[in-house]
Amino acid sequence: MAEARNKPRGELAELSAQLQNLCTAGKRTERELRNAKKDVFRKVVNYMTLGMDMSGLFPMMTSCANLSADDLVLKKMLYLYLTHYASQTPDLALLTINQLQKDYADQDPMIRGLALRSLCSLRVANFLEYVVTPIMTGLGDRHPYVRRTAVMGVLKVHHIDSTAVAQHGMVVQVKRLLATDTDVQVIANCLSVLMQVGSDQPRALSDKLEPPSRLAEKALVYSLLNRIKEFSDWGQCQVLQLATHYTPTSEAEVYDMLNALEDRMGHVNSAVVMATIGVFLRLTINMTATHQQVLERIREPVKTLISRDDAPTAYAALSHVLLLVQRAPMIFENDAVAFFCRTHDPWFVKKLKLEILAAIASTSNVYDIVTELTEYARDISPTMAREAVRAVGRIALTVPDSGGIVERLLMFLDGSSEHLVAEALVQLKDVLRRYPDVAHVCVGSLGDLAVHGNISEPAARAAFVWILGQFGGLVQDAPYLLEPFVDGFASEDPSVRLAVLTAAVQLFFRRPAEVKPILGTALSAGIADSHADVRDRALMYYRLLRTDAAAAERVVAPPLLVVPWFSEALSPEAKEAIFAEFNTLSVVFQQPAAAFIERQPYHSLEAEPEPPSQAPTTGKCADRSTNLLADADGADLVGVGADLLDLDITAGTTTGGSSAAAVPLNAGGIPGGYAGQPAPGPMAGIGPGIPGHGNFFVDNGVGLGLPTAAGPAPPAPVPELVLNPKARVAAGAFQEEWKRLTPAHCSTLSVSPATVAAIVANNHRDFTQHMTQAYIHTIASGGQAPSFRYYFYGQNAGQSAALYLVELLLRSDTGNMQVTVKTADTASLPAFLELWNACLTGFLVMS
Amino acid sequence: MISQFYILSSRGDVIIRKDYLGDVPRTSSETFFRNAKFWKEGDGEAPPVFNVDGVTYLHIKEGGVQLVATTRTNLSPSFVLEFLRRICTIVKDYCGFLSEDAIRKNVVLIYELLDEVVDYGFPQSTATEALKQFVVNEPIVVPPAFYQAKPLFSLSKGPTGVFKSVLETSRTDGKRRDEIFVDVVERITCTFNASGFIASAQVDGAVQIKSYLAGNPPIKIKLNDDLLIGKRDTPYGLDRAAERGHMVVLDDCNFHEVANLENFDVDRTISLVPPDGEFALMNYRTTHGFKPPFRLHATVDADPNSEYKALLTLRLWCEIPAEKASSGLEVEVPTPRWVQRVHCDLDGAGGGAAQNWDFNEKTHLLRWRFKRCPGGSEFTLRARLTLEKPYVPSLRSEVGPVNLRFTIPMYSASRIMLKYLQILKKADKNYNPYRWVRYVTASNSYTFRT
Repeated sequence: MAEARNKPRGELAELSAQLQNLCTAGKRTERELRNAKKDVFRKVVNYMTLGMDMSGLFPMMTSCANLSADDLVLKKMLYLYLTHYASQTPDLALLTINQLQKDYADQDPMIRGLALRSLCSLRVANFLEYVVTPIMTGLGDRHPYVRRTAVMGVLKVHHIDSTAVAQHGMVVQVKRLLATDTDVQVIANCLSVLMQVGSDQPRALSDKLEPPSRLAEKALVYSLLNRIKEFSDWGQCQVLQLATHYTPTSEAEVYDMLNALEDRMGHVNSAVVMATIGVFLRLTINMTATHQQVLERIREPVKTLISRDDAPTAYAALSHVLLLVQRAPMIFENDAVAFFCRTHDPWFVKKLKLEILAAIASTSNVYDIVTELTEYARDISPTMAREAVRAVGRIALTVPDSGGIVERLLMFLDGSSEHLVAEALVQLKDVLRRYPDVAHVCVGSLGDLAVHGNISEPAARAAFVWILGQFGGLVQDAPYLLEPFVDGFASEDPSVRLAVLTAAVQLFFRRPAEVKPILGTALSAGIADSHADVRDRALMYYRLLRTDAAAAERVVAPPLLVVPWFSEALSPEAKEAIFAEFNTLSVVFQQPAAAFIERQPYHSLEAEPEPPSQAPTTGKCADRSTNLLADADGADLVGVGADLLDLDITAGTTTGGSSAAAVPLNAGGIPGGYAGQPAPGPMAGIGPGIPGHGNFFVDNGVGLGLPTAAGPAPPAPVPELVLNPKARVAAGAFQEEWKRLTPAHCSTLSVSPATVAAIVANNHRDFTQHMTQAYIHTIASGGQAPSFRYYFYGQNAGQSAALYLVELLLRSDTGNMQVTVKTADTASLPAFLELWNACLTGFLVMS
Repeated sequence: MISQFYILSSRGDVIIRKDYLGDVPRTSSETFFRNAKFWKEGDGEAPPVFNVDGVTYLHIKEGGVQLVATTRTNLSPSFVLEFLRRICTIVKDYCGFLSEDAIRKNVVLIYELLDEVVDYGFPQSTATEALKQFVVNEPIVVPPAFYQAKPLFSLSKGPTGVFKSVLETSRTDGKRRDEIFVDVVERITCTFNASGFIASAQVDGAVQIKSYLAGNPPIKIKLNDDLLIGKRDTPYGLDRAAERGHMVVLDDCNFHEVANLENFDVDRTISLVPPDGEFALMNYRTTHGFKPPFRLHATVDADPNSEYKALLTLRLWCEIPAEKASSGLEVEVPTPRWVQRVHCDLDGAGGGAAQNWDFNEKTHLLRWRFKRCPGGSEFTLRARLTLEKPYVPSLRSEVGPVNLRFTIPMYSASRIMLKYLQILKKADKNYNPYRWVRYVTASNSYTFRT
């Protein structure tokens, strides 16, 4: 890369010399001269695309082109170059304004349009004065090409300075054009601009309606729909989008619109078809019978779209089908074949098809679908095979006639491939929670599986153990199947350890004699465990068993409570929100827009200096990827937590009146993430929950007579400080602590403006993410220039679990950075400060 | 709207770059490439739409390059993807071919086109002939390097084999050659169950036109008289003649905007003024009256001589008319992990057909290839599998499913036909441009379950 970076310097000098040379004709004929210029210009454009900085050639480029001002090829290349570098070198760009304005008065509409487009694309705020007049005259130009360019110019100006647009009444002009112009592309552009201008500032207008729907007046919508065929495909999409914002006044009107748009369904362009479907669904949403007809009507066109050879557009269409079948599975109930996978479908298409098949399965088609899915389980790609098994599991849960389907699942258990057996176990567990009656069919063959030795995946091991615990009565050798898990307790994944504890207790009540030794081993291993949740659960079972074995049975091993339905990944509200955003990215991501859309100011990044070298960018990227990883971890945690909660409620709520039993379970399971590390010794006073926790711990430690890992003796101060990676402090708790504690350390630091910029950049995220690497978490960040505030916290991962709270005040005008640290544990403060300073310096050096 | 557009080479170099709204960092091309290359889900291929840090990346792959659009708004995914597809077609129409090399050679021309096609992230005129008036750069047509090597294997992607810029039609130096290509391109999706019966079958077809006619004269196309189009013609279900397979029945079809269907319901003629460049006049889909071009029968038996061996026999029948032939046929047989080695004996009643086989010990795929497979022929492959553990009868269900890939020129599986193609240019009687009508049927997914 360094080599490539050095190269252009040589190239730049060479090109510069060549251009200089070409400014004078010399002995060449005019024709030769032009061809030579074109060659050099082409090279410049090439280097520009590669990301090399060619802005130094600005004066030579302009004079070269201006000397052959009538050559269109050169002119176009010059303008391309100009729009690319103008924002970097506004002073030099100013020199070209003259030429642009001259071109703007040209006879040829093509040149007028070209000049106007380039003029509007310079993106230099100071140039607005030169741009406004051309746009205003351009809006009234006699050639549509110039008009449509001028309309887009309005939007460009709007993004640089929206007040200028308002001042000159540009929007009014555009609205007038929208109503009167004869050229469809001009109209389409007007529509785009008005919808954009509207959605950019929804709150600026006092009117309650969203601007696009204010725009969608009856006369306009009707006139556009009547001419829709004249528009380009993209223009048609714009018109249809406008139509989705229109609310018809009567049902007759709805039918009129449906009939008018009927033939758009047969369009070759999937964008038009999807937009039409969006309009149809929106119009009929309150007319149940018609809505049903619409769903019926869209079936064939949609099937045509998804069977196209073009995977990306088929993928987009399939995402929408999935959304539709989740609302109304019966639409495609008889079309299961259309969603069967093709051998060479990419995985993302196959995955969507499997989800759709699982969603449309009903008693009438389930046999075909499950037979087909069973074939996919033989896919060469293990991920696809697993998805197929998962789909069979989901179908078993939703389609009441589960007998045959469960047998299919059991068939996967016989297979030789580990990933299928693992997935089948996980699915089987859910099926058993939903239909415990089928247990006697299922559990017979479990003993032959040798799960302990053969399956390594934690989720599958946990599922197997869960089945043993719940249905141990039916499995002949359940205790002996559980035993190896208990023996290797410490080496299991936490989720498996938790499952083993529960299963051991449950099994104990069913077959006390055989299980007693296993239970003892499991509980003592659990209590000695380093994982807080595992330890808490082991302790709870232990206490329950000691206090009242009968009560314990009612709590831990009640008859299995049937789960009537499984909660879905998305809440109904979220689903509605996504449906309201039909034909947008929300449907593909299965998230409402707010979850993934982050608006940034237009052209903000262009003003930033280009990165001086490659290093900072890669650094930033590394940050991002770690962040992604962190996110994934977090999601996992939540998943495990939710699972636990599910399990525990199942165990707890059948105990009739003693619903209180569920409370300690939850309390132990969920907040245990950080409260579970008790703070003995000097720290015992912090927080309301912790003292009780500590006592309870000590009680048990003594009662059990186990070697107390966390006895009352205060731990020796650790020289090296390690922060808890998963520390979580709520904003309220932070505030309270902050108020309560006195500053333990204050320091000020002076930083350069560049550093300030780096800290603030990317909405402070680069900086805060950097600090997270040291497990110093951010609770709040923000502020307006010139003063920014950040609040951080860290938690000692050691025994003390002390919190360190940090306030960082940054003045961008003076470059003053003030740091205040508060903590109750002053002993470890120096260690924390060292960590803090190291991390902060790391960022300052990097930027 | 679209914030940025770029074209990336397979190695991630940016060949074309346009920034429109300036709300996505310039480094997004690197972010895209890294994410797309090391995608963690599935088999590692990135889905066409994904979001990283609030920026949505939409991309398609064609001709060995990737076309990417970025956005921060909640757009219609179909809209952007179709638009990228349209840009591909425009590049193909103007440069004659879409490949990294063709783009690199025509960078300036493509920038020029893009300037007209997109303004500030919004699509403008995208019709090939409307763009002609704005284009001042000359295309440099680069025929693909592999064209000579394997001419037919990529035919399923439309009228290929014509690498010619639409700008050729405006030449006045006498070298102009007026011609029009009409291709009926069909792709078969067919699954046979273990007993050899068709479990599902579908033909997806398109009538693709690529026109190089100066002055865009109107043309007229006639299709089979015995054509029935699902809901359009038989809203009350099919009658018996159609059921018995005497008619060519399409389940659904759509037409390009230019198609004038005034007489279509009367005599199956479509008149149109073909725009420049490539476009699909008609897309259709059918599940009726389908005769599979290939049949295959697979058996797996124990080897009486050795416990650690098994015999796999594949018999293949090519059931297309004898005067036609499949060019390029590949039979793919996945085998279980415990098959160590394979040795095959080939023998063909068709004789002379160049065929070969190979076995990949990593993927455990057995491949049986034909250069050419004439209609009415029959072939047998006898494979001896060496196993890691003793033979068990369940091996039979672990071999397969068998996939076929093929391309059959001058054959249409749906039996749709172009009866005639008229060029209606009355002014000049001597005007007689070249008219090419071609058919091709290729496999999309052709699977025999075992």
